[in-house]
Amino acid sequence: MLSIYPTFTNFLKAQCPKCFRFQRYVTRKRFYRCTGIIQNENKWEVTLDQRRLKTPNGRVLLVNSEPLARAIAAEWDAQTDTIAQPTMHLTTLCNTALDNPGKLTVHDIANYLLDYFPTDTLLFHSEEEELRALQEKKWIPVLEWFQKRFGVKLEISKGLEPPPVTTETRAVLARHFLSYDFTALNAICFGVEALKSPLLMLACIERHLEPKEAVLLARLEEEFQLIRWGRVPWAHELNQAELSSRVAAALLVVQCSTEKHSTTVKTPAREQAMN
Amino acid sequence: MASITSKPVLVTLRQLLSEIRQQSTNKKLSDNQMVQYIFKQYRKYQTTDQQLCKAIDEMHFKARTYVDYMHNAKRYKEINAEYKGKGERSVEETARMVGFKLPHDPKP
Repeated sequence: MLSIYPTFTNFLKAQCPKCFRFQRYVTRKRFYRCTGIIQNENKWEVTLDQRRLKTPNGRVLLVNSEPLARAIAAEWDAQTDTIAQPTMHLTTLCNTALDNPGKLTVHDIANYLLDYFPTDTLLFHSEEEELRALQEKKWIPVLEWFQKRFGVKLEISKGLEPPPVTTETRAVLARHFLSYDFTALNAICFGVEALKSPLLMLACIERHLEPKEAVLLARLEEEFQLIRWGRVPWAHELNQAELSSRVAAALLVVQCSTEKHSTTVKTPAREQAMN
Repeated sequence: MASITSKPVLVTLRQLLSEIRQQSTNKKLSDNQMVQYIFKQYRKYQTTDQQLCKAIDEMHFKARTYVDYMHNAKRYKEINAEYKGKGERSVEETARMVGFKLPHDPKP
């Protein structure tokens, strides 16, 4: 009986594939023992045992940078008995960049971010005295840094109306966003949606803030309310941990995809003079 | 990594190793590909991380970002596992919560 069983299930699978398609669809068991990376020309692949990791669309997951590939391998290595894919942000970001399920272009994302900009969290200050004092103390330094770094002028809103953003500011930011490639821009978009603030994400990318600090600034009002109403671990701490991990993952992808290594041999000064 | 001997850089290295030790599934840390890579990078930028036309602290910032990512992803999983719902309570359990007992053979 036992020896017949696998052949029987195989036969069933061949006959009616639909019956078996939705099996174990929520979580998958860990099916590999060790993870590693291999180099493919100048790109990197992740391997689970001897198999190559693929995207949901079935393409081989190719990554431009070695540290990112290693981090993805470590992420898969960190899964215990089931694979918790919703928490594997690095893999998800690389998958999205390769598969591009929304069929977006760089210009689409840049446009989206520009439209997002006037509703940035940091541009809305509260009407309540105490909270506003705190917001001014924490947010104004970041806003000042941003204005100095990008050479733009920002206005702050005190009500529900989004503040006006000048066309010059838009142009400066558009140029900045378009200087990134698709992978990085996709990651920036992911980080912005976690923080609800393009401004903080840019501050992270420019190494002005660490992800932890940026998340704290984005959650300033929540933290302010927590002082009075108390902290609940399964709501507030969970949220904080998730946001921090999302922002840090987005930042890692941006850092890895923007850096490029190239080595060229310097011509000695003597030869240069001869030429 | 301004310099490998400076305190914050070493603290970051220790945090990295500790996170990897907690999360990795193979026992020996020295076999881990990530650890080998991290040590290689740390040795490469031992004196300064400005060899390759990088900003001051760029490598250190990256290392710190990675620590942040690993730590928070782990924390999220822990909280989730701790407070995850188990579904509805049974009648018996609810009765015990308020200090009642179910009758042994309830009459129909």
